[in-house]
Amino acid sequence: MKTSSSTMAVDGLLAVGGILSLALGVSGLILVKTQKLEVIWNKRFAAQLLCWIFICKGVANSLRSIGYDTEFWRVVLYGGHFNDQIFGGLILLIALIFPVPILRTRKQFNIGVAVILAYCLLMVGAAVFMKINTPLAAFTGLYLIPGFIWTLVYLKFRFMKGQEDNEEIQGVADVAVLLLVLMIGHILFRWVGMFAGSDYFYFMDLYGGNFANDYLWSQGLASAVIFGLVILCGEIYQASQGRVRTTSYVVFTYMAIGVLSHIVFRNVELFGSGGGTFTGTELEGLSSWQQIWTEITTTLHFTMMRPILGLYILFRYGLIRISEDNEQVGKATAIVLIVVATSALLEIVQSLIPLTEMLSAGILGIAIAFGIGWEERSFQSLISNPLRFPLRTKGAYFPEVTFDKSEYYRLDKALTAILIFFGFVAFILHWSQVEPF
Amino acid sequence: MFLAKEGDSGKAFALLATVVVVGLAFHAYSFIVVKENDILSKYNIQEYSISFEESSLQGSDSVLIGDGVTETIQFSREMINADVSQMMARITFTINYEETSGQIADPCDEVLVNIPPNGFVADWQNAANDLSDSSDDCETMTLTVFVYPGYNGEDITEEGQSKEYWETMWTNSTYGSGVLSLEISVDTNQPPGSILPGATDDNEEINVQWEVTLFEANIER
Repeated sequence: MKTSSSTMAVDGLLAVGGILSLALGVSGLILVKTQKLEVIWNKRFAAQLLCWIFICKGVANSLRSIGYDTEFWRVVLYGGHFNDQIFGGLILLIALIFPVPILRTRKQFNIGVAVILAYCLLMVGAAVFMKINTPLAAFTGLYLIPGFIWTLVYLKFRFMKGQEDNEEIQGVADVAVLLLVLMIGHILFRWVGMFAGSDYFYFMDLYGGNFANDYLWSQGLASAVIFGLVILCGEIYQASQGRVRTTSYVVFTYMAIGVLSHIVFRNVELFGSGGGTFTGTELEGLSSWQQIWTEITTTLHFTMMRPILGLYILFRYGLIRISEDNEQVGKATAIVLIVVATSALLEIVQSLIPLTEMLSAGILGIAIAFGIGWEERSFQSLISNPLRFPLRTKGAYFPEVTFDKSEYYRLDKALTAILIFFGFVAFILHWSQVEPF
Repeated sequence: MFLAKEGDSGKAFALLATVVVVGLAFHAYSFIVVKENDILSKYNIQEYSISFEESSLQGSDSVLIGDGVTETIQFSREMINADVSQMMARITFTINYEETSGQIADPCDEVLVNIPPNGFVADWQNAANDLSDSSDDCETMTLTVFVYPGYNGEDITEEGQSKEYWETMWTNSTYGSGVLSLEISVDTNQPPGSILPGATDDNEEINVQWEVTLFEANIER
């Protein structure tokens, strides 16, 4: 069993990824608040929730980048865990309202929020009062429920008869695929291991030491693999009919990397990798080539692809509408993302090829200059014509529910309070010298 | 339930639910039945006893070095024909010389030997390294470079991780790669009669013997 005193290397990439997520989350929230154009209720809530997801992941990754070899390791451990639990609850809530609302009335929405809040509180309570690796504190259903909903939405809209060329219909399927990739992309890099019975898949755990907890976690990873395969089969069929979309290439790429990853890791026992990036001690058990592969796959997904996919979804599908009022903030968001993403990419390159500080500074400057130059044109194309959902032709899927502006703001206030409260709980656990395992 | 039934009378829902149930059943069988012992065994902290089989290779070289001149003898793994499975533990250089001028009462020359800590991957921070020495009385000098960090030849017991982890730990052939340079400088001491024609001491022959200690790790659970 891993213990709390295990040392982990301070991870620069995790820190950069954390900052990137935080930057996207905070600036996204500002954009949502300042937008003047009207946005349908489920998109508006989804935009806010996506931003909060990135804030939670940003806080969790920033904390973990400090490593556990510190006096405040309990804050790192519990703070990261609590933020991941909020992340899990928010992902579930997004899946229940976006792209197709499952919660179709105000009453259903309120009940859904209450149930998810209770679920999160139960998980947090179990982690605080029992052990952090108890099955009750595990992320049961984190991937299963949202993954099921988004895959179902994908199947319904991608294979809707007579609508194969309808951009609005296919756009719904696309966004479902992108949300799924955003959530479980890193697990798709391990999909072959589930069927090959490989240790690198079945040994993935959160904290280890509890068979039931490990099973629940692994079950979530398995469900992610199943959804990935369903979508892969769907896209292969669509490709055979000559209907390849941009999202098809995203799916093909992630699944192909999964096949290559099996070649790289098939003889390796990996402990406690959670499903994401490896920590310092775990990396020591890998060959240098396996470390490089990890950096350019899972680490890249966590640090760069997630925020970039998030930004794309927010702007391309009209979750955030850009007008003259908030265009400057939108551009600033895109530039911040480009700069931080470029430095994350450089961090990865630097970990693979040792560069002098002078050279890396030069490359960073050039990359940012190109990035900002590119930003002007790509930003315009991203925001100028956001994809609309088929409200007229398939309106039954998208019920109208009216929310007051203050209700949207209330969500932000509630989540701010929850984050602060859980952070405070993490500090109390630290001061109380609680043994988490 | 609206999403499940709308549009296709629930066909997509039924198909997906079936695939998920079958997939999770396969995963449950793999996790709980096929991999159970492996998964349970990873909770136990395993002990690994690591023993080392040591061997050594020797060689020698000699070089004539002029007064005030520094010569470099280079050493690399490629020169010693070691098996790929053998890791380099340390390298010991033994440097000796005599006064060979043949002049009467010619004192020993001053010889300075030095190994610069670069160009070769080794445990340069090891406090037991002996990287430079000098002599002006023809005494034998010994320099030692410890190459593989943490290796001292004694059997050890480690806890946790996996057999592959410890194998990787003790088979890192990066250590011992590169080119090691041994710099030898000679400063001749002239005999008392050096003012006479033909009685000068202009160089010295330096003999260098090297011994490379190699090891192979044997890891048992």
